Amino acid sequence: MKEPDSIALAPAPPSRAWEALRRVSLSLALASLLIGILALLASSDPGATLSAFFIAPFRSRSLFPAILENAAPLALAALGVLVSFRAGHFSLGGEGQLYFGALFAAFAGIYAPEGYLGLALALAAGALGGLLVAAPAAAGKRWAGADVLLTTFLLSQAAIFIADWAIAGPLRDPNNNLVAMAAIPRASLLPRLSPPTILSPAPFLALAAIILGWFFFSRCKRGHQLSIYGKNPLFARLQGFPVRAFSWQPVLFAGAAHGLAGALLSLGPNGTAVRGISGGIGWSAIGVSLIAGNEALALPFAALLFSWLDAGSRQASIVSDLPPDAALVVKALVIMAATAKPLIKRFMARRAAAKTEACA
Amino acid sequence: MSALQQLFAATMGGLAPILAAALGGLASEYVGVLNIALEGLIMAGGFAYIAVGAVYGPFAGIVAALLLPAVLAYLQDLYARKARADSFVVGLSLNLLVPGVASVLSQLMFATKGVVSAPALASPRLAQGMASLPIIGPLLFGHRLSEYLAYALVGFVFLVLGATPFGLRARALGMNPDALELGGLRPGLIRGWAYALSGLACGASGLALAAAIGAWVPGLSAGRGWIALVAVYLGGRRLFGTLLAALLFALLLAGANQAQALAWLPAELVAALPYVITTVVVIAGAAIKRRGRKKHQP
Repeated sequence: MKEPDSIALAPAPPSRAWEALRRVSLSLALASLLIGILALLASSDPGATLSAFFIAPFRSRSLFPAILENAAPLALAALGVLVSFRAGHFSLGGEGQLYFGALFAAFAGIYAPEGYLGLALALAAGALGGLLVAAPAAAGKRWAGADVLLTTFLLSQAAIFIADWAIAGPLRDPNNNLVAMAAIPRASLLPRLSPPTILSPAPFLALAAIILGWFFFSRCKRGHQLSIYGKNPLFARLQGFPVRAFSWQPVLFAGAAHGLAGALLSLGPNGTAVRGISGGIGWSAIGVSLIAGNEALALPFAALLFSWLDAGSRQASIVSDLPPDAALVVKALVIMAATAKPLIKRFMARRAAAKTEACA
Repeated sequence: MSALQQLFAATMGGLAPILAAALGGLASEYVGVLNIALEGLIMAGGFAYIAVGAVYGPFAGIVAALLLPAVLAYLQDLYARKARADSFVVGLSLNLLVPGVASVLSQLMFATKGVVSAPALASPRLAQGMASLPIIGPLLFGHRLSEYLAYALVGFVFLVLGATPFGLRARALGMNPDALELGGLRPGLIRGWAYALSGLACGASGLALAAAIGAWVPGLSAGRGWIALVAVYLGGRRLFGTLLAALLFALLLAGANQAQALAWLPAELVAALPYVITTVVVIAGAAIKRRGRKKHQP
């Protein structure tokens, strides 16, 4: 049957958010497949490994809230990554910014007055900590045009050493068996919503921030301009956009977002800053943002995916002999696959073209 | 040995892995797509040396340490080209993948979570007697076999990039891919080989690191892949510039290492110092470049 009119009308392209959501679900499917393969290859008890990923989180009362809670810092950090990536700045310093955020938040939490005031001050201090690590990179970009990719990474590395020293040295609580600072008073921590689980308001805070981020990029003139600047700085300059501000503000914002994410770690389940508290979240956050296609609305789902992978592999390493780093393998492959989306797109386009030819 | 002699010796030892990785980065930069996965490829080389070496002997370990990262890098680029994936993202995920796979494999093969110790694979120091000669001694002698091997690889990559038609074509590809295609050459192939070269050099770097301690430890590369990237950038993306920048970093790191022996400064703060100095150098370099550009503008 020939319907030439309907062929001439190209279907409207799906919205970016929809595309991103589809990519996250594809990533979930791929991750599940990879877990299956890893369980068969690398574990002597595949049944236990699989159930750690696919059954335990939904059966146990404490695991699912923990996944939700741990997704919060990841999502918040990923929002920082998203803003800087959308602006075309490849900020890779998340790890150190997060660690500094955790350190500053713990410091403020310990010495500020107990209660909600202390909590608010600690959160602000966390954001400040991340901001401080990002500031030289932002300044270098603003005044010298120094590549953010290099400077953020270098500064982050320095920050990690400095925070290691601070937590193990002058700020260490000698009564603690862990290498950690003194415990933050209970009243200044994030309140627990449904004890005994570790769920706190952190996931809602992260969600609110993400919605603001979505609003900024899809409903605000400035956000739209920033996206254009990220794609083509010269065009943005010729259009008279505030490119000077765009060259450094996103870098600072990313630092503050990572610092706040670090604060959530100190003020949440850990109760203070522990040595090595950032534990790779800075790098994972980059993956989260990439899987979400740098699209704010898809961030929570991507963060949940990674948080689930972490929880599952931790659980699996307890009940079977799968090392917890298996999550790293799955994450890396999922990111790699997610970036190949144009392949799928090309394949679809070719099929559509073939169909059109066949109909004509 | 005097402190200065020691500093020379430590610098030359530390330079081998950094310079090898930096030239690897330069090979990819020549074709116009900077390889962000140097860090992961170094770790792949280090792990391959220990894992294969522990089972089949040191020679097999060396071969594996050189070939595996080369193959990995080639595949990484092949995937980026064929799937039209972002090279930057593929490289980043390779940096996550390698430590993950190494951890899973070390659990499977050696039943350890983390460190795989193989003291027999520690590389011997050569010509130690000559190392006490003034100045030349610590520069040329008393280093590990694996470090000399890394220097040999450095020389090889240096020659390939600087003095062969391939190097010229790679540079041309980085400047204008279309011109190369019009000349009847296959840009994809050249890019792939440049990446393989970059993997090979990183493998030598990982080999030198793992053979120095005779073990695989998680985080073996300890940021050297990133330092190497900075060296490429600071060296103005040229052979001799990269060499000089790598030398500067090796000197900084060796100096920091020696300063850790001074009791009055915490070791972590001293370790942070090279990164702070490098940041300052990167920003200052960019500022000078920008000023130069402004001057040339009419």
